[in-house]
Amino acid sequence: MRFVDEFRDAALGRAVAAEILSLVEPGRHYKVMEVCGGHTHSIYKFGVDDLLPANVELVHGPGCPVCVIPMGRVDDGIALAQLPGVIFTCFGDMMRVPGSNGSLLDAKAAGADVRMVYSPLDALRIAKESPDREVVFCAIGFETTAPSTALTLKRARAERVKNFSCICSHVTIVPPLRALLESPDLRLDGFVGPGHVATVVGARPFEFIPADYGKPLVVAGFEPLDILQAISMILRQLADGRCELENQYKRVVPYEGNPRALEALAEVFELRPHFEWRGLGFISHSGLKLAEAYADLDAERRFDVPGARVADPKACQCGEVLKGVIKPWECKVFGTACTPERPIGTCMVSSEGACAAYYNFGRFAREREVV
Amino acid sequence: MRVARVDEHTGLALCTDGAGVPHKIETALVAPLAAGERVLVHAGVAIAMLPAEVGA
Repeated sequence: MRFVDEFRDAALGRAVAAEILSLVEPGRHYKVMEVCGGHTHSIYKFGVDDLLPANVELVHGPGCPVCVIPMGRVDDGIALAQLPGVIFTCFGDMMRVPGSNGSLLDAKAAGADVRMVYSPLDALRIAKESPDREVVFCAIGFETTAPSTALTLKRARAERVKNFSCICSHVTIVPPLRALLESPDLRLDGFVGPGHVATVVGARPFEFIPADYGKPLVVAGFEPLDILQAISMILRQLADGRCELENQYKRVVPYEGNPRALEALAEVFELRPHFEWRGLGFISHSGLKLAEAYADLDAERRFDVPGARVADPKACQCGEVLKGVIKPWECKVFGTACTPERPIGTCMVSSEGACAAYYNFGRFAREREVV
Repeated sequence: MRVARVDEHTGLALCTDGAGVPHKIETALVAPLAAGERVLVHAGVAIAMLPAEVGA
């Protein structure tokens, strides 16, 4: 087994698709939200939705790290990058997210020292190699990425790297899910749960969705057969009249998560009272900041950060896309004024963004063609 | 990624991705690791072990 080919087997895919077809009630419309942007990407890359019956609709959730960053945080990053002596480091996608006056890539073009890294550990290495410069790492992402930042900060502390700091925009997935479930805009039948977040936090934190809101949730892997099987498991629960948390991604996700990762998160971070999400507004206890014990490594305390709130551009409908209220192609600027080359909204920036997934894999069709 | 070599002093491992490209990976969340084992890596950190291959 190589853990890739087996999960992309076309014959097995058709068999699971046939099983899905046998589980749906004719005349009933099913709406299933895939929470994670990684799932959205896989669904459109592999054409998973083309294998589904027309009455099974996939709704794209808020689990794309770049997509949920508000413009004000981008402006904060640019302000830090423009400080004399600062090397500003971030993941590649983040460089292209528009702020109110351009992106980090634009700031780099104008002379700021902005560098793309694959890991916060790369940023720490740059700091050790450049002791006369201040190196700031722009930390974004859900619980999947936050342990990487936590371990890097622990290393910076242990190795006494004084010229390294972090502007933290890490977020947690449960509060926005709860906000979505409380929203009157959206009626959902079930959830494909975020497999990689669950690798860290476990499947357990998602128990509240079936328990409190009566919706099945299946934690799933990211290959096409993983996603198809998860959809089949959700539909089977609905057909059987069950409502449970199930784990399709058992080969990676333990029920209790990764205890060492959870310990590192608890040591390095604490919850912010509120954090602003692009398009979703302020959500209580949904963002992480550095704990007091790590305050000296917090770029927001080391430097003067504007911290201004900036409204999304009027033309941008990322908020509705992130809440699953509209499909990407229903946005007024999708594919015209807003493209991956010149994005207006964040959902068009990251490969995990729903708009970029639709655009890059040619999913412009208003009506699905069912195989 | 597949573990090629582990540096127990630094806690970092040299791992190769599917294309054979080497990466230095933080192992603190899954250690101890041994050469040949497979790990799920996110942002430079191994966050989970992958099951052993069968019939490889």
